[in-house]
Amino acid sequence: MIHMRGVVHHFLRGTVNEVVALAGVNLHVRPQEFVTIIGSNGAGKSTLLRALAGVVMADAGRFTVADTDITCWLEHRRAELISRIDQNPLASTAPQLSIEENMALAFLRGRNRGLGMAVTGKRRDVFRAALSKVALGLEDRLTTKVGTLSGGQRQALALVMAILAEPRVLLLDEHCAALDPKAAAQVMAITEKVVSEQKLTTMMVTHNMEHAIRYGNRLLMMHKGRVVVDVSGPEKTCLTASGLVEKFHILSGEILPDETLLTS
Amino acid sequence: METVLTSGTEEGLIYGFMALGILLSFRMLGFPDLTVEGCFPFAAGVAATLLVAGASPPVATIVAVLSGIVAGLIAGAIHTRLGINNILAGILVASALYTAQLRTMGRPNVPLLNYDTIYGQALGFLGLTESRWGNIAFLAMLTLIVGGALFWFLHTDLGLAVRATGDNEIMVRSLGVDVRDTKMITLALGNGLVALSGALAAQEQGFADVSMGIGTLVAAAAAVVIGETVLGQGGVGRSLLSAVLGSIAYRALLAFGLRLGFPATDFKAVAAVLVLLALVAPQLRNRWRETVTRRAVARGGAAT
Repeated sequence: MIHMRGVVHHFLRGTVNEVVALAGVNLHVRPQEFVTIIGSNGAGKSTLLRALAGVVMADAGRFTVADTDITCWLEHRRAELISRIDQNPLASTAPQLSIEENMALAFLRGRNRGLGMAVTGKRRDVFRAALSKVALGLEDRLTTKVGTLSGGQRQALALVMAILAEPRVLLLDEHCAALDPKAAAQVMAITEKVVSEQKLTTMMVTHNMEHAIRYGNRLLMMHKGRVVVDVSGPEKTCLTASGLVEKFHILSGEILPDETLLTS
Repeated sequence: METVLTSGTEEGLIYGFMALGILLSFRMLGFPDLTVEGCFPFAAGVAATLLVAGASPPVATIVAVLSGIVAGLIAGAIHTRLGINNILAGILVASALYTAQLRTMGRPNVPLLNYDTIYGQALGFLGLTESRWGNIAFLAMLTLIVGGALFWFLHTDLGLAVRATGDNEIMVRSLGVDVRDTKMITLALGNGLVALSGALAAQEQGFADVSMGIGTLVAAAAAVVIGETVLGQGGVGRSLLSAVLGSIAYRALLAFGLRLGFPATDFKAVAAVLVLLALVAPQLRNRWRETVTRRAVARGGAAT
Protein backbone atom coordinates (compact mmCIF):
# COMPACT_ATOMS: atom_id res chain seq x y z
CA MET A 1 0.00 0.00 0.00
CA ILE A 2 2.77 2.41 0.98
CA HIS A 3 6.23 2.41 -0.58
CA MET A 4 8.96 4.78 0.57
CA ARG A 5 12.35 4.58 -1.05
CA GLY A 6 15.46 6.48 -0.02
CA VAL A 7 13.59 9.19 1.85
CA VAL A 8 15.97 11.90 3.06
CA HIS A 9 15.07 15.12 4.81
CA HIS A 10 17.08 17.86 6.52
CA PHE A 11 16.04 20.74 8.71
CA LEU A 12 17.81 24.10 8.30
CA ARG A 13 19.53 22.69 5.25
CA GLY A 14 22.66 24.50 4.17
CA THR A 15 23.18 26.20 7.53
CA VAL A 16 25.61 25.36 10.35
CA ASN A 17 22.62 24.10 12.35
CA GLU A 18 21.63 21.55 9.70
CA VAL A 19 19.92 18.52 11.20
CA VAL A 20 19.35 15.23 9.42
CA ALA A 21 15.74 14.29 10.19
CA LEU A 22 15.46 11.33 7.79
CA ALA A 23 18.65 9.60 6.66
CA GLY A 24 17.39 7.37 3.88
CA VAL A 25 14.27 5.51 4.94
CA ASN A 26 13.06 2.53 2.91
CA LEU A 27 9.72 1.15 3.96
CA HIS A 28 7.02 -1.00 2.51
CA VAL A 29 3.70 -1.15 4.33
CA ARG A 30 1.24 -3.79 3.15
CA PRO A 31 -2.51 -3.20 2.87
CA GLN A 32 -4.36 -3.29 6.21
CA GLU A 33 -1.14 -3.26 8.19
CA PHE A 34 -1.28 -1.24 11.43
CA VAL A 35 2.25 -0.02 12.05
CA THR A 36 3.27 1.59 15.33
CA ILE A 37 6.39 3.72 15.37
CA ILE A 38 8.46 4.57 18.43
CA GLY A 39 11.79 6.27 18.96
CA SER A 40 13.43 8.98 21.01
CA ASN A 41 12.91 12.68 20.40
CA GLY A 42 14.37 13.75 17.08
CA ALA A 43 14.40 10.21 15.71
CA GLY A 44 12.39 11.31 12.69
CA LYS A 45 9.08 9.58 13.46
CA SER A 46 6.84 12.59 12.98
CA THR A 47 8.91 13.86 10.07
CA LEU A 48 8.40 10.52 8.33
CA LEU A 49 4.61 10.86 8.58
CA ARG A 50 4.73 14.53 7.64
CA ALA A 51 6.88 13.76 4.62
CA LEU A 52 4.46 11.04 3.54
CA ALA A 53 1.46 13.36 3.95
CA GLY A 54 3.27 16.17 2.14
CA VAL A 55 3.21 18.58 5.09
CA VAL A 56 6.94 18.79 4.49
CA MET A 57 8.33 18.00 1.07
CA ALA A 58 11.22 15.56 1.52
CA ASP A 59 14.63 16.53 0.12
CA ALA A 60 14.92 13.18 -1.65
CA GLY A 61 13.17 9.85 -2.04
CA ARG A 62 10.08 8.47 -3.72
CA PHE A 63 6.63 7.88 -2.26
CA THR A 64 4.02 5.53 -3.66
CA VAL A 65 0.57 5.05 -2.15
CA ALA A 66 -1.93 2.59 -3.59
CA ASP A 67 0.26 2.09 -6.67
CA THR A 68 0.25 5.84 -7.37
CA ASP A 69 3.50 7.79 -7.32
CA ILE A 70 2.71 10.81 -5.15
CA THR A 71 6.26 12.14 -4.81
CA CYS A 72 5.49 15.36 -6.66
CA TRP A 73 1.98 15.87 -5.24
CA LEU A 74 1.46 18.74 -2.81
CA GLU A 75 -0.18 18.17 0.54
CA HIS A 76 -3.72 19.08 -0.50
CA ARG A 77 -3.57 16.62 -3.39
CA ARG A 78 -2.19 13.79 -1.24
CA ALA A 79 -5.20 14.29 1.06
CA GLU A 80 -7.19 12.34 -1.49
CA LEU A 81 -5.35 9.17 -0.39
CA ILE A 82 -3.96 10.04 3.02
CA SER A 83 -5.60 11.23 6.26
CA ARG A 84 -3.36 12.53 9.01
CA ILE A 85 -4.15 13.53 12.59
CA ASP A 86 -1.74 15.81 14.41
CA GLN A 87 -0.87 15.54 18.11
CA ASN A 88 -2.21 19.04 18.66
CA PRO A 89 -6.00 18.78 19.20
CA LEU A 90 -6.33 22.34 17.82
CA ALA A 91 -4.78 21.39 14.47
CA SER A 92 -7.25 18.92 13.00
CA THR A 93 -10.58 20.68 13.52
CA ALA A 94 -11.87 24.21 12.86
CA PRO A 95 -13.02 25.87 16.14
CA GLN A 96 -15.37 28.55 14.75
CA LEU A 97 -17.32 26.07 12.67
CA SER A 98 -19.94 23.65 13.96
CA ILE A 99 -19.45 19.90 14.21
CA GLU A 100 -21.56 19.32 11.09
CA GLU A 101 -19.62 21.95 9.14
CA ASN A 102 -16.33 20.31 10.12
CA MET A 103 -17.77 16.97 9.05
CA ALA A 104 -18.92 18.46 5.73
CA LEU A 105 -15.38 19.67 5.06
CA ALA A 106 -14.02 16.19 5.77
CA PHE A 107 -16.79 14.55 3.73
CA LEU A 108 -15.32 15.95 0.50
CA ARG A 109 -11.69 15.15 1.38
CA GLY A 110 -9.59 15.32 -1.74
CA ARG A 111 -12.54 16.05 -4.01
CA ASN A 112 -13.59 19.20 -5.84
CA ARG A 113 -15.79 21.52 -3.89
CA GLY A 114 -18.61 23.09 -5.83
CA LEU A 115 -21.69 25.16 -5.17
CA GLY A 116 -23.88 22.45 -3.67
CA MET A 117 -25.05 22.91 -0.09
CA ALA A 118 -22.39 21.79 2.39
CA VAL A 119 -24.79 20.51 5.04
CA THR A 120 -27.86 18.72 3.73
CA GLY A 121 -30.32 16.43 5.45
CA LYS A 122 -28.86 13.41 3.69
CA ARG A 123 -25.32 14.30 4.71
CA ARG A 124 -26.46 14.98 8.27
CA ASP A 125 -27.65 11.37 8.49
CA VAL A 126 -24.22 10.18 7.33
CA PHE A 127 -22.50 12.43 9.88
CA ARG A 128 -24.74 11.23 12.69
CA ALA A 129 -24.12 7.59 11.86
CA ALA A 130 -20.36 8.12 11.72
CA LEU A 131 -20.28 10.11 14.97
CA SER A 132 -22.45 7.63 16.84
CA LYS A 133 -19.67 5.04 16.42
CA VAL A 134 -17.44 6.91 18.88
CA ALA A 135 -20.25 7.00 21.45
CA LEU A 136 -19.46 10.45 22.83
CA GLY A 137 -22.87 11.91 22.10
CA LEU A 138 -21.44 14.21 19.42
CA GLU A 139 -24.14 13.04 17.00
CA ASP A 140 -26.71 14.95 19.07
CA ARG A 141 -24.68 18.16 19.03
CA LEU A 142 -24.20 18.69 15.30
CA THR A 143 -24.61 22.47 15.48
CA THR A 144 -22.26 22.95 18.44
CA LYS A 145 -19.16 25.00 17.71
CA VAL A 146 -16.10 22.75 17.80
CA GLY A 147 -14.15 25.35 19.81
CA THR A 148 -16.35 24.57 22.82
CA LEU A 149 -15.41 20.85 22.85
CA SER A 150 -12.70 19.32 25.06
CA GLY A 151 -9.36 18.18 23.65
CA GLY A 152 -10.43 14.53 23.80
CA GLN A 153 -13.71 15.24 22.04
CA ARG A 154 -11.88 17.24 19.37
CA GLN A 155 -9.42 14.40 18.72
CA ALA A 156 -12.27 11.87 18.58
CA LEU A 157 -14.02 14.15 16.08
CA ALA A 158 -10.76 14.49 14.14
CA LEU A 159 -10.59 10.69 13.97
CA VAL A 160 -14.14 10.41 12.66
CA MET A 161 -13.37 13.14 10.12
CA ALA A 162 -10.15 11.42 9.08
CA ILE A 163 -11.90 8.20 8.09
CA LEU A 164 -15.21 9.68 6.87
CA ALA A 165 -14.17 9.79 3.21
CA GLU A 166 -12.48 6.37 3.41
CA PRO A 167 -8.84 7.27 2.80
CA ARG A 168 -6.37 4.60 1.71
CA VAL A 169 -3.94 5.44 4.51
CA LEU A 170 -4.41 6.78 8.04
CA LEU A 171 -1.49 8.53 9.74
CA LEU A 172 -1.67 9.17 13.48
CA ASP A 173 1.04 11.47 14.81
CA GLU A 174 0.91 10.99 18.60
CA HIS A 175 -2.75 11.87 18.42
CA CYS A 176 -3.26 11.04 22.11
CA ALA A 177 -0.15 12.77 23.45
CA ALA A 178 -1.81 16.03 24.48
CA LEU A 179 -4.78 14.37 26.19
CA ASP A 180 -5.25 13.41 29.83
CA PRO A 181 -4.84 9.66 30.52
CA LYS A 182 -8.57 8.95 30.57
CA ALA A 183 -9.28 10.79 27.32
CA ALA A 184 -6.16 9.24 25.75
CA ALA A 185 -7.38 5.74 26.61
CA GLN A 186 -10.81 6.56 25.20
CA VAL A 187 -9.44 7.95 21.92
CA MET A 188 -7.05 4.99 21.60
CA ALA A 189 -9.94 2.55 22.06
CA ILE A 190 -11.93 4.37 19.37
CA THR A 191 -8.86 4.33 17.12
CA GLU A 192 -8.46 0.59 17.41
CA LYS A 193 -12.15 0.05 16.75
CA VAL A 194 -12.35 2.15 13.58
CA VAL A 195 -9.03 0.92 12.20
CA SER A 196 -10.04 -2.72 12.51
CA GLU A 197 -13.61 -2.09 11.33
CA GLN A 198 -12.57 -0.21 8.22
CA LYS A 199 -9.47 -2.36 7.66
CA LEU A 200 -7.38 0.78 7.27
CA THR A 201 -3.70 0.79 6.48
CA THR A 202 -2.42 2.76 9.45
CA MET A 203 0.84 4.23 10.72
CA MET A 204 0.83 5.50 14.30
CA VAL A 205 3.64 7.38 16.00
CA THR A 206 3.56 7.13 19.77
CA HIS A 207 5.73 7.87 22.77
CA ASN A 208 3.79 5.31 24.73
CA MET A 209 5.71 2.03 24.64
CA GLU A 210 2.74 0.10 25.93
CA HIS A 211 0.48 1.44 23.17
CA ALA A 212 3.13 0.62 20.58
CA ILE A 213 3.25 -2.98 21.74
CA ARG A 214 -0.44 -3.47 22.43
CA TYR A 215 -1.84 -1.97 19.24
CA GLY A 216 -1.09 -2.81 15.64
CA ASN A 217 0.51 -5.77 13.95
CA ARG A 218 3.91 -4.29 13.14
CA LEU A 219 6.31 -2.17 15.17
CA LEU A 220 9.06 0.11 13.96
CA MET A 221 11.67 1.79 16.08
CA MET A 222 13.45 4.78 14.62
CA HIS A 223 16.74 6.33 15.62
CA LYS A 224 18.61 9.21 14.04
CA GLY A 225 16.45 9.22 10.94
CA ARG A 226 16.58 5.49 10.27
CA VAL A 227 14.38 2.51 10.99
CA VAL A 228 16.46 0.38 13.39
CA VAL A 229 13.89 -2.18 14.56
CA ASP A 230 11.14 -3.69 12.43
CA VAL A 231 9.12 -6.54 13.95
CA SER A 232 5.77 -7.96 12.96
CA GLY A 233 3.61 -11.04 13.35
CA PRO A 234 4.16 -13.39 16.26
CA GLU A 235 7.45 -11.75 17.16
CA LYS A 236 5.60 -8.49 17.82
CA THR A 237 2.90 -10.23 19.83
CA CYS A 238 5.58 -11.48 22.20
CA LEU A 239 7.36 -8.13 22.59
CA THR A 240 7.87 -6.63 26.03
CA ALA A 241 8.94 -3.12 26.91
CA SER A 242 12.24 -4.24 28.41
CA GLY A 243 12.86 -6.56 25.49
CA LEU A 244 12.40 -3.64 23.12
CA VAL A 245 14.86 -1.44 24.98
CA GLU A 246 17.42 -4.25 24.92
CA LYS A 247 16.90 -4.73 21.23
CA PHE A 248 17.42 -1.08 20.67
CA HIS A 249 20.74 -1.15 22.54
CA ILE A 250 22.05 -4.04 20.53
CA LEU A 251 21.02 -2.62 17.19
CA SER A 252 22.01 0.98 17.65
CA GLY A 253 25.15 0.06 19.57
CA GLU A 254 24.94 2.94 21.96
CA ILE A 255 23.28 4.10 25.14
CA LEU A 256 20.07 6.00 24.55
CA PRO A 257 20.35 9.63 25.53
CA ASP A 258 16.80 9.73 26.82
CA GLU A 259 15.99 6.20 27.78
CA THR A 260 13.23 7.41 30.06
CA LEU A 261 11.17 8.43 27.09
CA LEU A 262 11.22 4.92 25.74
CA THR A 263 10.30 3.18 28.95
CA SER A 264 7.60 5.53 30.13
CA MET B 1 -32.26 64.87 12.58
CA GLU B 2 -34.23 63.25 9.83
CA THR B 3 -31.55 64.07 7.27
CA VAL B 4 -28.95 62.55 9.59
CA LEU B 5 -30.90 59.29 9.58
CA THR B 6 -31.80 59.21 5.91
CA SER B 7 -28.38 60.21 4.62
CA GLY B 8 -26.82 57.85 7.19
CA THR B 9 -29.01 55.00 5.93
CA GLU B 10 -28.37 55.77 2.27
CA GLU B 11 -24.61 56.04 2.67
CA GLY B 12 -24.60 53.19 5.16
CA LEU B 13 -26.19 50.92 2.57
CA ILE B 14 -23.73 52.05 -0.12
CA TYR B 15 -20.75 51.49 2.16
CA GLY B 16 -22.43 48.36 3.52
CA PHE B 17 -21.22 46.47 0.42
CA MET B 18 -17.72 47.53 1.36
CA ALA B 19 -18.31 46.34 4.93
CA LEU B 20 -19.44 42.96 3.52
CA GLY B 21 -16.23 42.79 1.50
CA ILE B 22 -14.10 43.57 4.54
CA LEU B 23 -16.09 41.04 6.55
CA LEU B 24 -14.96 38.37 4.06
CA SER B 25 -11.29 39.30 3.76
CA PHE B 26 -10.52 40.82 7.16
CA ARG B 27 -12.91 39.06 9.54
CA MET B 28 -13.33 35.63 7.94
CA LEU B 29 -9.92 35.20 6.30
CA GLY B 30 -7.93 37.41 8.70
CA PHE B 31 -6.39 39.18 5.72
CA PRO B 32 -6.05 42.96 6.24
CA ASP B 33 -6.62 43.66 2.57
CA LEU B 34 -5.26 47.10 1.70
CA THR B 35 -6.10 46.49 -1.96
CA VAL B 36 -9.47 48.04 -1.14
CA GLU B 37 -7.86 51.46 -0.66
CA GLY B 38 -7.07 51.44 -4.36
CA CYS B 39 -9.97 49.30 -5.49
CA PHE B 40 -12.70 51.56 -4.12
CA PRO B 41 -11.67 54.76 -5.97
CA PHE B 42 -10.57 52.79 -9.04
CA ALA B 43 -14.00 51.20 -9.40
CA ALA B 44 -15.58 54.63 -8.93
CA GLY B 45 -13.30 55.97 -11.65
CA VAL B 46 -14.10 53.12 -14.03
CA ALA B 47 -17.84 53.61 -13.53
CA ALA B 48 -17.61 57.40 -13.94
CA THR B 49 -15.41 57.21 -17.05
CA LEU B 50 -17.76 54.70 -18.67
CA LEU B 51 -20.82 56.81 -17.86
CA VAL B 52 -19.17 59.89 -19.36
CA ALA B 53 -18.26 57.83 -22.40
CA GLY B 54 -21.92 56.98 -22.84
CA ALA B 55 -22.22 53.51 -21.32
CA SER B 56 -25.46 52.62 -19.59
CA PRO B 57 -25.34 52.80 -15.76
CA PRO B 58 -25.81 49.03 -15.16
CA VAL B 59 -23.02 48.23 -17.63
CA ALA B 60 -20.72 50.83 -16.04
CA THR B 61 -21.46 49.41 -12.58
CA ILE B 62 -20.92 45.79 -13.61
CA VAL B 63 -17.63 46.58 -15.37
CA ALA B 64 -16.51 48.45 -12.23
CA VAL B 65 -17.30 45.39 -10.12
CA LEU B 66 -15.39 43.15 -12.52
CA SER B 67 -12.38 45.47 -12.31
CA GLY B 68 -12.51 45.10 -8.52
CA ILE B 69 -12.62 41.30 -8.82
CA VAL B 70 -9.55 41.39 -11.07
CA ALA B 71 -7.74 43.67 -8.59
CA GLY B 72 -8.51 41.19 -5.80
CA LEU B 73 -7.28 38.28 -7.89
CA ILE B 74 -4.02 40.11 -8.64
CA ALA B 75 -3.45 40.87 -4.94
CA GLY B 76 -4.30 37.25 -4.13
CA ALA B 77 -1.89 35.93 -6.73
CA ILE B 78 0.91 38.18 -5.47
CA HIS B 79 0.30 36.89 -1.96
CA THR B 80 -0.33 33.19 -2.60
CA ARG B 81 1.76 32.46 -5.70
CA LEU B 82 4.68 34.82 -5.14
CA GLY B 83 4.70 34.53 -1.35
CA ILE B 84 4.53 38.26 -0.65
CA ASN B 85 3.27 39.33 2.79
CA ASN B 86 -0.49 40.05 2.79
CA ILE B 87 -0.33 43.73 3.74
CA LEU B 88 2.44 44.42 1.25
CA ALA B 89 0.57 42.59 -1.54
CA GLY B 90 -2.42 44.87 -0.93
CA ILE B 91 -0.33 48.04 -0.82
CA LEU B 92 1.41 47.14 -4.07
CA VAL B 93 -1.86 46.63 -5.92
CA ALA B 94 -3.46 49.73 -4.36
CA SER B 95 -0.47 51.79 -5.42
CA ALA B 96 -0.65 50.49 -8.98
CA LEU B 97 -4.42 51.10 -9.04
CA TYR B 98 -3.80 54.79 -8.23
CA THR B 99 -1.92 55.15 -11.51
CA ALA B 100 -4.45 53.00 -13.32
CA GLN B 101 -7.27 55.23 -12.09
CA LEU B 102 -5.55 58.47 -13.15
CA ARG B 103 -4.84 56.92 -16.55
CA THR B 104 -8.44 55.75 -16.88
CA MET B 105 -10.02 59.03 -15.87
CA GLY B 106 -7.35 61.22 -17.48
CA ARG B 107 -7.62 63.68 -14.58
CA PRO B 108 -7.99 63.45 -10.78
CA ASN B 109 -11.74 64.13 -10.70
CA VAL B 110 -14.61 63.21 -13.02
CA PRO B 111 -17.96 64.94 -12.30
CA LEU B 112 -21.17 63.09 -13.14
CA LEU B 113 -23.71 65.77 -12.50
CA ASN B 114 -25.53 65.74 -15.83
CA TYR B 115 -25.40 62.02 -16.47
CA ASP B 116 -28.02 59.40 -15.84
CA THR B 117 -27.02 57.09 -12.96
CA ILE B 118 -27.98 53.64 -11.77
CA TYR B 119 -30.28 55.26 -9.20
CA GLY B 120 -32.27 57.18 -11.79
CA GLN B 121 -32.57 54.11 -14.01
CA ALA B 122 -33.50 51.73 -11.21
CA LEU B 123 -36.07 54.11 -9.76
CA GLY B 124 -37.52 54.69 -13.22
CA PHE B 125 -37.70 50.92 -13.68
CA LEU B 126 -39.41 50.50 -10.30
CA GLY B 127 -41.76 53.41 -11.00
CA LEU B 128 -40.51 55.48 -8.07
CA THR B 129 -39.71 59.17 -8.11
CA GLU B 130 -36.11 60.18 -7.58
CA SER B 131 -35.64 60.93 -3.93
CA ARG B 132 -33.46 59.88 -1.02
CA TRP B 133 -36.12 57.41 0.09
CA GLY B 134 -36.26 55.99 -3.40
CA ASN B 135 -32.50 55.51 -3.37
CA ILE B 136 -32.76 53.81 0.03
CA ALA B 137 -35.44 51.44 -1.26
CA PHE B 138 -33.31 50.52 -4.28
CA LEU B 139 -30.15 50.08 -2.19
CA ALA B 140 -32.00 47.98 0.38
CA MET B 141 -33.22 45.68 -2.39
CA LEU B 142 -29.73 45.40 -3.83
CA THR B 143 -28.35 44.66 -0.37
CA LEU B 144 -30.91 41.90 0.11
CA ILE B 145 -29.99 40.34 -3.23
CA VAL B 146 -26.21 40.56 -2.71
CA GLY B 147 -26.44 39.59 0.98
CA GLY B 148 -28.69 36.65 0.13
CA ALA B 149 -26.27 35.47 -2.55
CA LEU B 150 -23.38 35.71 -0.08
CA PHE B 151 -25.37 33.84 2.56
CA TRP B 152 -26.05 31.08 0.07
CA PHE B 153 -22.43 30.94 -1.17
CA LEU B 154 -20.96 30.73 2.34
CA HIS B 155 -23.11 27.65 2.99
CA THR B 156 -21.99 25.77 -0.11
CA ASP B 157 -19.08 23.30 -0.11
CA LEU B 158 -16.80 25.89 -1.68
CA GLY B 159 -18.02 28.68 0.62
CA LEU B 160 -17.49 26.48 3.66
CA ALA B 161 -13.91 25.83 2.52
CA VAL B 162 -13.47 29.60 2.17
CA ARG B 163 -14.71 30.18 5.73
CA ALA B 164 -12.64 27.32 7.12
CA THR B 165 -9.47 28.67 5.49
CA GLY B 166 -9.60 31.66 7.82
CA ASP B 167 -10.42 29.47 10.80
CA ASN B 168 -7.84 26.68 10.49
CA GLU B 169 -5.73 26.82 7.38
CA ILE B 170 -3.59 23.81 8.33
CA MET B 171 -6.64 21.60 8.71
CA VAL B 172 -8.22 22.81 5.49
CA ARG B 173 -5.06 22.01 3.54
CA SER B 174 -4.91 18.55 5.10
CA LEU B 175 -8.48 17.94 3.90
CA GLY B 176 -7.42 18.46 0.31
CA VAL B 177 -8.24 22.12 -0.26
CA ASP B 178 -5.74 24.28 -2.11
CA VAL B 179 -5.82 27.26 0.25
CA ARG B 180 -4.18 29.44 -2.39
CA ASP B 181 -7.42 29.13 -4.36
CA THR B 182 -9.76 29.76 -1.43
CA LYS B 183 -7.76 32.85 -0.46
CA MET B 184 -7.93 34.18 -4.00
CA ILE B 185 -11.68 33.56 -4.14
CA THR B 186 -12.11 35.47 -0.87
CA LEU B 187 -10.07 38.43 -2.09
CA ALA B 188 -11.85 38.45 -5.45
CA LEU B 189 -15.27 38.50 -3.77
CA GLY B 190 -14.18 41.03 -1.17
CA ASN B 191 -12.80 43.45 -3.74
CA GLY B 192 -15.77 42.90 -6.03
CA LEU B 193 -18.03 44.06 -3.19
CA VAL B 194 -15.77 47.02 -2.43
CA ALA B 195 -15.83 47.94 -6.13
CA LEU B 196 -19.64 47.79 -6.14
CA SER B 197 -19.56 50.15 -3.20
CA GLY B 198 -17.18 52.48 -5.08
CA ALA B 199 -19.32 52.52 -8.22
CA LEU B 200 -22.50 53.22 -6.21
CA ALA B 201 -20.77 55.93 -4.15
CA ALA B 202 -19.50 57.76 -7.25
CA GLN B 203 -22.99 57.77 -8.79
CA GLU B 204 -24.61 58.92 -5.58
CA GLN B 205 -22.21 61.78 -4.82
CA GLY B 206 -21.96 62.75 -8.50
CA PHE B 207 -18.23 62.40 -9.03
CA ALA B 208 -15.27 60.04 -8.84
CA ASP B 209 -12.10 61.27 -7.23
CA VAL B 210 -8.63 59.79 -7.04
CA SER B 211 -8.37 60.46 -3.31
CA MET B 212 -11.68 58.94 -2.21
CA GLY B 213 -10.08 55.68 -1.07
CA ILE B 214 -7.98 56.95 1.81
CA GLY B 215 -8.87 55.20 5.06
CA THR B 216 -11.34 52.86 3.33
CA LEU B 217 -10.14 49.71 5.08
CA VAL B 218 -10.27 51.22 8.56
CA ALA B 219 -13.66 52.85 7.99
CA ALA B 220 -15.15 49.57 6.75
CA ALA B 221 -13.54 47.61 9.55
CA ALA B 222 -15.02 50.11 12.01
CA ALA B 223 -18.46 49.49 10.52
CA VAL B 224 -17.97 45.74 10.87
CA VAL B 225 -16.86 45.93 14.50
CA ILE B 226 -19.69 48.34 15.42
CA GLY B 227 -22.11 45.80 14.00
CA GLU B 228 -20.46 42.95 15.88
CA THR B 229 -20.58 44.92 19.12
CA VAL B 230 -24.28 45.62 18.74
CA LEU B 231 -25.46 42.29 17.36
CA GLY B 232 -22.74 40.02 18.72
CA GLN B 233 -20.85 37.41 16.76
CA GLY B 234 -22.70 34.37 15.60
CA GLY B 235 -23.51 32.49 12.45
CA VAL B 236 -23.03 33.62 8.88
CA GLY B 237 -26.41 35.34 8.67
CA ARG B 238 -25.82 37.39 11.76
CA SER B 239 -22.33 38.41 10.57
CA LEU B 240 -23.69 39.62 7.22
CA LEU B 241 -26.54 41.50 8.86
CA SER B 242 -24.31 43.08 11.48
CA ALA B 243 -21.85 44.31 8.82
CA VAL B 244 -24.63 46.15 6.97
CA LEU B 245 -26.25 47.52 10.14
CA GLY B 246 -22.83 48.49 11.48
CA SER B 247 -22.17 50.39 8.29
CA ILE B 248 -25.47 52.27 8.63
CA ALA B 249 -24.71 53.09 12.28
CA TYR B 250 -21.22 54.30 11.37
CA ARG B 251 -22.45 56.54 8.56
CA ALA B 252 -25.26 57.91 10.76
CA LEU B 253 -22.66 58.75 13.42
CA LEU B 254 -20.58 60.45 10.75
CA ALA B 255 -23.55 62.46 9.51
CA PHE B 256 -24.38 63.40 13.08
CA GLY B 257 -20.81 64.50 13.69
CA LEU B 258 -20.89 66.65 10.56
CA ARG B 259 -24.11 68.23 11.82
CA LEU B 260 -22.37 69.13 15.06
CA GLY B 261 -19.70 70.86 13.01
CA PHE B 262 -16.91 68.26 13.06
CA PRO B 263 -15.15 68.00 9.70
CA ALA B 264 -15.46 64.59 8.01
CA THR B 265 -11.69 64.19 8.21
CA ASP B 266 -11.93 63.86 12.00
CA PHE B 267 -13.65 60.54 11.52
CA LYS B 268 -10.56 58.77 10.23
CA ALA B 269 -9.08 58.97 13.72
CA VAL B 270 -12.37 58.00 15.36
CA ALA B 271 -12.59 54.95 13.09
CA ALA B 272 -8.99 53.99 13.87
CA VAL B 273 -9.63 54.17 17.62
CA LEU B 274 -12.86 52.17 17.26
CA VAL B 275 -11.13 49.39 15.35
CA LEU B 276 -8.24 49.31 17.80
CA LEU B 277 -10.66 49.07 20.73
CA ALA B 278 -12.59 46.28 19.07
CA LEU B 279 -9.39 44.35 18.38
CA VAL B 280 -8.06 44.63 21.95
CA ALA B 281 -11.44 44.22 23.65
CA PRO B 282 -11.30 40.39 23.82
CA GLN B 283 -7.86 40.55 25.48
CA LEU B 284 -8.98 43.23 27.94
CA ARG B 285 -12.10 41.24 28.76
CA ASN B 286 -10.06 38.12 29.51
CA ARG B 287 -7.61 40.04 31.66
CA TRP B 288 -10.45 41.67 33.54
CA ARG B 289 -12.11 38.29 34.16
CA GLU B 290 -8.83 36.87 35.45
CA THR B 291 -8.41 39.78 37.82
CA VAL B 292 -11.96 39.38 39.11
CA THR B 293 -11.46 35.65 39.58
CA ARG B 294 -8.16 36.14 41.35
CA ARG B 295 -9.68 38.68 43.72
CA ALA B 296 -12.62 36.42 44.43
CA VAL B 297 -10.28 33.52 45.16
CA ALA B 298 -8.12 35.76 47.35
CA ARG B 299 -11.19 36.75 49.32
CA GLY B 300 -11.97 33.08 49.78
CA GLY B 301 -15.21 33.32 47.83
CA ALA B 302 -16.25 31.14 44.96
CA ALA B 303 -15.08 32.28 41.55
CA THR B 304 -17.95 33.31 39.37
